[in-house]
Amino acid sequence: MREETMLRKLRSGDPAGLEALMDRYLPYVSAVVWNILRGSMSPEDGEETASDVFLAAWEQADDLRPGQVKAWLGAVARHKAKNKLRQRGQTLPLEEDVLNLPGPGDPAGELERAEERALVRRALFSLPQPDQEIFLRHYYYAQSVKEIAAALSMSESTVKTKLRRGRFKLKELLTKEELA
Amino acid sequence: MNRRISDLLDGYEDGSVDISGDTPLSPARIKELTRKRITKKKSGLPRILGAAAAAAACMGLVFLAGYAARTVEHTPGGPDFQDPHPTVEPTADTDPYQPPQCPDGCDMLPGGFNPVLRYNGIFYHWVGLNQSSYNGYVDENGRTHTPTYRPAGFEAVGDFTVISHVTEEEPNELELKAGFDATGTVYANPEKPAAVYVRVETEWFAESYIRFTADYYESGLICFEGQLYWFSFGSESPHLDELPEDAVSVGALHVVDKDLIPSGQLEINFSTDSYGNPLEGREVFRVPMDSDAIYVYEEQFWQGGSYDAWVTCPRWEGPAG
Repeated sequence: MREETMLRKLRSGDPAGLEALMDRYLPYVSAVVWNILRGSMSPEDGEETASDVFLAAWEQADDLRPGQVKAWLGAVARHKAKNKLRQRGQTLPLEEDVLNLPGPGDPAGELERAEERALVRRALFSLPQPDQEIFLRHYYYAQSVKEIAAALSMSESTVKTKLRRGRFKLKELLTKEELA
Repeated sequence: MNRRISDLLDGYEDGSVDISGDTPLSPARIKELTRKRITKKKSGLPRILGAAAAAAACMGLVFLAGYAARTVEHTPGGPDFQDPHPTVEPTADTDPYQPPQCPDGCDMLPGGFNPVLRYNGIFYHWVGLNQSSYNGYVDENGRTHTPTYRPAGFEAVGDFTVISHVTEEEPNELELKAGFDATGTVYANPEKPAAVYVRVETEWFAESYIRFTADYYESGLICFEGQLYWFSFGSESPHLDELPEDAVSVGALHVVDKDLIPSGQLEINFSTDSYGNPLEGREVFRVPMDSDAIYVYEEQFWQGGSYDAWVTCPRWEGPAG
């Protein structure tokens, strides 16, 4: 089924659209969810979270745009899985996940948050490939260094080096803007 | 302050990385759980049924309790052929330009082969059900009934016979090469030779009109100054974020029947853009002295809003071009 047809069916409340969405994106959503929840939760929790994602797509079908469906689903899957972790008082076990930045704390207002998001995007886009992909695989998709190395056929030390470069870039950009 | 990088990425959306891999999550359980929850939330919506319905759902069918299509007796056409099957006229709110069900070939049909029919020496390819509405049902034998219709002007020209898709031979006249058994009748319109409609009955769906298009046909063709250009759909269609400075407007699109190859200035044989917005009246641009492409305005959407874009429509040299 063409994506446009699938979205049209979703928006009109046609379950065939939802079936097509699940057929196409279930492996991806499952991988995103399980990367975050594994080690802390059961597969049943993962299945419920994945189902939450498709339910969100069903209920917010108007938010889905051609060409951005996968990105939307991935973001929602990540958000719901992280929330589930948070409810159990847990966080993602990622390599050097914490950055020390100047400033008082989390951005207070929507404007500050929007600015911060823009800076993060800039930092990401400034990374060459495959550094950008490696950074996303680890910090966005919660893949381990070992998994990333296997997926991209590189050594673990290379992956770590590139992650370090990405962290440095991000910190540099966020620090400069904060001090400005 | 300490900030988690993974939290800093919370406002980001990525669709570029191909994340896959085995998980212990059961796709069947996820689907079943989701189906139950949508049924619970929206009462009156159809329940998703079993395997036969799932096969039909691959063709974009929706099942409601009850069957609401109207039927009209059709006068048989052609001097030597009797058509025993009534047509189903479109309902009042039917868009006659429903997008085809399997525009790129339907690898979900049994045999994984996109059926091909030969008629009048031309090869026609299966596009999909010509639905008149989304009403339909599955009977006790697991066969799907969906309201479809045959456009006016298409008259019966004969029954087809099926040949197996595993043969390397091309179908002969009124033969349908397919990966499944079927019976039915072919309907053609000499004024619209780019398409035929075939009334098909198979094991898993009751008699329905299927649209087939000729191998020289394409949807989204625009005629401009005697040349054909192609309006491509979808997120990957090439487009400009800004028009060249010397681009000029050449008029607006006029939508014609989907079964035609456009021949009049700025005619297009498809009715909506990638976002379901009407193409009728859409402004078209060109760069003078450049006949390789024309540009059609399209408002494109993303989660943050919308922006102006101009879809690049290259000159169309035919299916092999």
